[in-house]
Amino acid sequence: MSFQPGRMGVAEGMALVFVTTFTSIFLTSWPLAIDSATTATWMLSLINGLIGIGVLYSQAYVLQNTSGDLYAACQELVGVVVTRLIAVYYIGIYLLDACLLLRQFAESTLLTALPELSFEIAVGWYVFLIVLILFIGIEAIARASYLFLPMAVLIVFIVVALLTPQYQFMYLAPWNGPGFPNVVMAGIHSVGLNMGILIPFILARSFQNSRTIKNSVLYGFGLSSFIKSLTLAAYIAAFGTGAAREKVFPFYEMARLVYINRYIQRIESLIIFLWAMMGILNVAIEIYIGLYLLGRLFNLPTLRPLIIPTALILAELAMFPGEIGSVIAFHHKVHWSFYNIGIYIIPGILFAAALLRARRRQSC
Amino acid sequence: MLSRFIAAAVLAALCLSLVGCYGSKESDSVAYVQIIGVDVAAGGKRKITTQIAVPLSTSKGGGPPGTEEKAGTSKRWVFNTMLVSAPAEEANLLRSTMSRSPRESHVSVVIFSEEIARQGLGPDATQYIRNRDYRETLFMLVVTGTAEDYMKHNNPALESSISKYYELFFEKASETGTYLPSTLHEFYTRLKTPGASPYAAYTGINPMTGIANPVDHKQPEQKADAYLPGGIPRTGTENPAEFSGLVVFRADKMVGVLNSYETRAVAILQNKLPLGYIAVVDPLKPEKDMINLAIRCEYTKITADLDGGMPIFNAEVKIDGDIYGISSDINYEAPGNREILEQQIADFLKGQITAMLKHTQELGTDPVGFGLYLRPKFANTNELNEANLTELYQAADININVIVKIRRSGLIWRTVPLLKE
Repeated sequence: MSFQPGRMGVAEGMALVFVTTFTSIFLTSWPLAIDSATTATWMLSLINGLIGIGVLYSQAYVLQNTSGDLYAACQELVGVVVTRLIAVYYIGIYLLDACLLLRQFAESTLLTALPELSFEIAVGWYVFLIVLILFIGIEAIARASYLFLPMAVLIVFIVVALLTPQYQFMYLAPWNGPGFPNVVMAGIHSVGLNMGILIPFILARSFQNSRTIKNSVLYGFGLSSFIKSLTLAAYIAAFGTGAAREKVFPFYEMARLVYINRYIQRIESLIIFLWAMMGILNVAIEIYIGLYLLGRLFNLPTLRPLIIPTALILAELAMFPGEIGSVIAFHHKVHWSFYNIGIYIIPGILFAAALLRARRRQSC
Repeated sequence: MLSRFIAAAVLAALCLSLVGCYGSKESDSVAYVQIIGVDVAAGGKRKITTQIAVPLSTSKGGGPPGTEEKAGTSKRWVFNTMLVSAPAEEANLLRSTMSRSPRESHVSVVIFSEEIARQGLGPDATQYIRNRDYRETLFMLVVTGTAEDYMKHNNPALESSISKYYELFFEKASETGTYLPSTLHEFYTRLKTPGASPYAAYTGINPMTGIANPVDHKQPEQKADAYLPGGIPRTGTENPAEFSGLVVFRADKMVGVLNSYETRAVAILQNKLPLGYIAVVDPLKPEKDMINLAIRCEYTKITADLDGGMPIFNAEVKIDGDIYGISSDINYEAPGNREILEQQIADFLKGQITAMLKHTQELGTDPVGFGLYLRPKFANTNELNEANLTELYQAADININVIVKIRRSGLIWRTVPLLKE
């Protein structure tokens, strides 16, 4: 099929995972997470990282013992019907996530940069750019993400460093937040924020080999988890948990707070492009994954005819909720519940099935 | 080929959208609000004064040839005071009174009257935080009298921009410690997160009569006086506005003020005093002589403990000193005398710090942020949230240890007595 080129390497895979797992730092997911982990919210990202490594090795094992990608592995291990159900689930969550992100990024543009722009035009511009890059294809998106990755990391580090005068590190105490067991539980619940770690397994046929996939997830998610953890610690140290819980866009607020002297301040306008680009790339990748699975599900020869209708439907759905608060609350709810099915249960079933099959083969 | 051509044309067209800022306005169609003053008015209303920059006067040489002199002498800013029931009404009415569209994104200071500060600044702070036009880095001040009067009398001759005036003032706060910068961010964060009480810089207008109005209390070692705004004995042609002391809050309500020396004690305990000047009574000739010094807080180390639910704080303060002047002919640079002087300064600073702590414990406000050091002592955040850190601060036993080291003695390394007649 035309959408399975098989030429992506570690750099592209790493960028895909990084962009899709890091973007949450710009949105309200983490201020909401402070409700559960309070001063130790920065640990959640590290706990997510450890769980992610577990998912990585379990799915790598699945791929090693089957042929092709996650879809093909499902067919081999759990049969066609269950595979179709799994595909529908993943299509649902990736497109749902794209839709919710689209709404939030459009709102962020209105709130932070262009308050007089009409909401529909903001959504329209995002969709236009997303459609444009989707037509170029996943390889181009992945390579653009890889080119963008060092710049994104550098900008995050610059903001975190320039905020140094604003830090009150005692705001991170009590160091274990609501208690270590509660933090671990919150970490387990919040893994759904990182659905991007499954992308290289879903697109496995587009990667060079299984080692490439493993390294992509390891480096991409490792980097993303570390920087998210650092940024969250900086965010809490700068705002305290009380004010930090209220913010809609944590990273924007961090950039706005930079005040070194009369000359080094008001830098956020330079950084708005960072989350706008990350948002566009993230939504484009997620729509691509949704369409890719749709293509696999219906055995379609190409995805291109689906791009514009899907993007338009998602744009309409993104504009459907009357206000942003319900979108934020709903996104948080599905992150911490519905998305976890795709992180724990489905990979767990596949891993168990692969393990069982390998043992049976050994016993034969 | 055709699709590539179309893609290239679309991308080229997109580039055109990068040349302008859509949705915003031209700089000559907006009025930049720089300072906002908030006073209480009758009938539950607010009197809001906005200080708006006049751009032509602040630009030098920006106009047509021959206009520079005129530009330099014209008004640098204009005021607009309105009685309003709600901030939204003020935003509307401001647009009804000006040709340009007001922009609050350059507001650098918000000034509140004492009356409004005593009623509570929480709702105001929340409104500024929520609105994207205002930045958390803007400074918050409380004035003696009304904000409107203060703003109209504050006419600095040295600065062409009123924002620059305030920014420079707070930049050099670290050179004295007798007033402290207070940002909306710090105020709001302290309101929302347990550990420290909010405070705001205290400012006012001096009557310029040359009459001193110092704070009564004076320690035995103290030579100079402590002041509150308006009390500094001065005359002259410079701006009558002055900063001295600190307004302290319990939750969002103003509960009192600290004088200039108490404020410096706060700065020392917060480790925010890179430079300050003190005058102490000459320990060996206390009748009329004195010693002037520049001091620097090298470090302040605060440790906390919860002993059976009762907090104990230990603060170790290390101060470096540089002798500026000795009015007597005693050689304080020499070993033996130097230690006596160091002890005199340590006693003086310890006395000031202790007085400040007693005062703030009585007021039930913790501007230093001792409560922050207690936070790690709680097992988890639930326990922290259940504790009343203000009450714990009031009941706390605070031990202060000040160590002073005279590092330098200016450009004189030993004092030689004056010749007798």
